Amino acid sequence: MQLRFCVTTCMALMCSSTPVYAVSYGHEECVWHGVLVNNKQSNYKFVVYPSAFNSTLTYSTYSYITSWNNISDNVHTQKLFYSPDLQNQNYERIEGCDLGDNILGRMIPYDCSNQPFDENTNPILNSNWYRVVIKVNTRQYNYSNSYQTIFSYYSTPYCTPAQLANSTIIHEVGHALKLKHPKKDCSLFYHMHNFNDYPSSIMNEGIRDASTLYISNTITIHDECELKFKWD
Amino acid sequence: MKKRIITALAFSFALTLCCSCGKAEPDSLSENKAAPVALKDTAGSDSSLPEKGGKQIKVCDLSETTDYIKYHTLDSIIENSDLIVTGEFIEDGISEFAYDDPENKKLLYDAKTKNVFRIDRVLKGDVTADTVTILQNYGIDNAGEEEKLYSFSGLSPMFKGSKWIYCLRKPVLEKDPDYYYPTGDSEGRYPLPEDYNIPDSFGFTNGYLDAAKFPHDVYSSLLEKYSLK
Repeated sequence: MQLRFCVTTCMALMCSSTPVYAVSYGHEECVWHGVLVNNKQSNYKFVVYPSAFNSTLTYSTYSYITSWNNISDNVHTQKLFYSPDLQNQNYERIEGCDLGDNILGRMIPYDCSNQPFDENTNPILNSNWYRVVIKVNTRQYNYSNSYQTIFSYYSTPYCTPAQLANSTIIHEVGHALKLKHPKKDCSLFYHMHNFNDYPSSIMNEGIRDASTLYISNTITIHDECELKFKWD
Repeated sequence: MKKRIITALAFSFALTLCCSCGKAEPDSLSENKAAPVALKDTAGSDSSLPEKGGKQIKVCDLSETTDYIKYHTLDSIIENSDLIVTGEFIEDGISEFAYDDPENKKLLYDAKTKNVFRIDRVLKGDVTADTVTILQNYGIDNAGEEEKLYSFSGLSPMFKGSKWIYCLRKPVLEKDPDYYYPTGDSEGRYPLPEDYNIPDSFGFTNGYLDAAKFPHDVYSSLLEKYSLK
C-alpha cells in the first residue's frame, strides 16, 4: 500500500505541478472492509425519523447528510424525511434517543439476518453490513424556558452548537460509509495536515477546541482521500 | 531513443500493475452475499470468554462505533472534571438497558451501570460524603444462558473491591443527578500505580479491553501531578 502511494505520488510530482496532499491516497488503518449491501448503485438513502429532532438538531442539520457527495463516483448519499410509505423499506435510518450526558451518537450496523451486531470488533466491522441505524443524542434539559442540548452544552469557541450537530451527522454518515476513527500515529500520516500526530479529520473523536484543531468541523483532504481509497 | 521510451513505458506499466496487486480488491457495491466475510482483527480486541464465578462471560465491545465527548490531554480532562478521587468500589454494579423494541429486545442502543465508590482521597473538587455513585456506559446481561458484557466505552466493569483513580463529571442535562460519570468516559479512569499493567480476570489491562488504547502519557502526567507514584 505504501509502495503504491509512493509511486503514485512520485509520478504525480513528476508529471504535473499537483501538490502532494491533493494526490488520492488512503490508509488501510482508516477504513473498514466490506460494503453496505442494502444500497443499490452506490446510492445511500438515509431516512431521518421525527425522533431525531430537538432544539439544535434541525432540518438544516440533516442537509449535511449529503456532504460526502461529489468526492467518489461510487458514493452518493441522499436524505429523506420520514413518511409512512418509507417505513417498511430498508433504507438507512437516523433516529434520536437519550444517550446520556457524554455520547454524541452511535452507528449500529446490522447483519444479513437483519440483526444488529452485538459486538463491534474489527472482524465484525470488516464484514459486509446489510443496513445501518444511526442514533443521535437528543437529550435536552429545560433551563428557565431555554433548552440546553448536548450540542449546545459542549460547544466551544471553535465549534458552535450547530457546527457540532452538523459535524456529528457527517461523522456518523462517514462511519456508515465504512470510515473509522483515525489512530494517533505520526508515522501513518504523511501529509501536511498533522496536528499532535492526528490527521486533520472530521472522523477524529471529540470536539474541536484550541488544543484539538485536528478535529475538523468539515470534511478535510484526509477524509476525501480515505473515502476515495475505500470506494474508488 | 525510441527503444528507451518503449522500455520506460513498459517498466512503468509493469510497476503500476505490480503495485495495484497490493491493494485490496474493491468490494462489489451491489453484491448480496449470504454471510458476512470476517477479515483480520487488527485491534486485537476480539470478544473473549472470561470466567466470573464459574460462569462464562462474553465481552461485546461496542466502543468503535460509539462517539463520546472525548478529551485528548490531561489538562482538558482536569479542566472538565468536577471531582478527581481515588478509592474502591464497595458493591457490584446494577445494569439498565435501553432497547428500541423493549418486547423483543432486538436493538440494544444503550446500557448504563451505576456503582457506589468509597472515596479514599480527593485530588480535585469538594465532596462531603465519603462515597460517590458512578455511572459507566456498559451493562452485564445475565438473562440468557451465556452472560454478556456490553461495553460501549471499552472500559472494564466496576466490581466490588477494585481500586481506581477517577476523574468525574456531574451530568448537566438532567435535574438533580445523584451520580457522576467518568470525564470523557474512557479518559476518566486510571489504575492505581500498584495495579498498573496487571490484567484482571476478564482480560482487561489498566481497565481497557484493548490494552493498546490506554493513554500511558496522560497516566504518567496524572500520577506526577498528584504525586501518586
